[in-house]
Amino acid sequence: MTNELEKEIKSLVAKVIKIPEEKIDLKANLFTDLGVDSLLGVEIFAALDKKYHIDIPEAKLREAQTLADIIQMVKELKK
Amino acid sequence: MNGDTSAYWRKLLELDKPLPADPLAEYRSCHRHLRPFFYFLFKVLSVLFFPIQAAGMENIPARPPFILASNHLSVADYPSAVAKLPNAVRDRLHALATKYFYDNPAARFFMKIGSNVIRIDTVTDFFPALRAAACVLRAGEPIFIAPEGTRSETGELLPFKVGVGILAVELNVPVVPVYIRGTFEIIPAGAGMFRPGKINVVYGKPIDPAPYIEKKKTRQAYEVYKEFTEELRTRILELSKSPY
Repeated sequence: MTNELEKEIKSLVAKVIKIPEEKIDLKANLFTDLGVDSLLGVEIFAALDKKYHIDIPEAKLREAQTLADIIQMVKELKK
Repeated sequence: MNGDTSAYWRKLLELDKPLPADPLAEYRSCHRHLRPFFYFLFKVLSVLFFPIQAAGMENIPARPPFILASNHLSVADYPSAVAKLPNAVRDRLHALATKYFYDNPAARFFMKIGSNVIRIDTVTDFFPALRAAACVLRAGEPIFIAPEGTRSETGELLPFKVGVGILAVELNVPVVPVYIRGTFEIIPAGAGMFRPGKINVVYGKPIDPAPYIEKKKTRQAYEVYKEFTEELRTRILELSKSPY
């Protein structure tokens, strides 16, 4: 289940930022390593919000920097 | 990625929250009482040193809310862009000013005389500014924005920040492209004193966000905001080639 969720989130992030899944490392910084700009970062959250119906606080926009952070955040918010 | 993702953007902009009782109070400074004198003085200086020609003023919608969006070359851009507008429009305009200027007491003093000013942080925390601008537009007032986010140091048009697209598409507000020519030669970034010259201001036809609102139904919201912002930039580039 956890792995499925991780795969699902990775796939969603890849589609939003238009980078192949295999090029997204869990620990890579989306903004500095993968060139995601801050508003495209918001779009990742918008897509997660839509898919999982989770209420992502604005403060998380600045905290989540890597795919691993995002996965962790979704897991916490889904609890 | 299919479908409209704008629900989260709307949440961040608090677009579905009721407006405060007096949403414009924060921007209605007592400095505004000096505004007629300021623009009178500006007009005298402009007649003597930098005559301003304006074209396309008929393109400004008769009723707000709307957004005036211009290129940014100089501190003289805003007063030059609005100098020829009717007082009734100029007095209602709310200008977005970066914290770099707003946090300087002298600059803030003159900005508040010249316009109703909204402070923005384009680098680290843009949502409070977008919320403030959205609040002003929802209250039925016009705003003035320089989507480059900073003055161009070369005179060339810089890439645009997407905030203007977010506001236009989410609030269904038309955007009037404005091209200002001449202020770079008169007082570029970093110059302490102005030089005489000529200023041209061209107002283009408003961009209707309706087609973009339609596109948003099947696309990522961010892509649509970006596309709207790119159209605005293209329209301002076209105005830069106009004979005015």
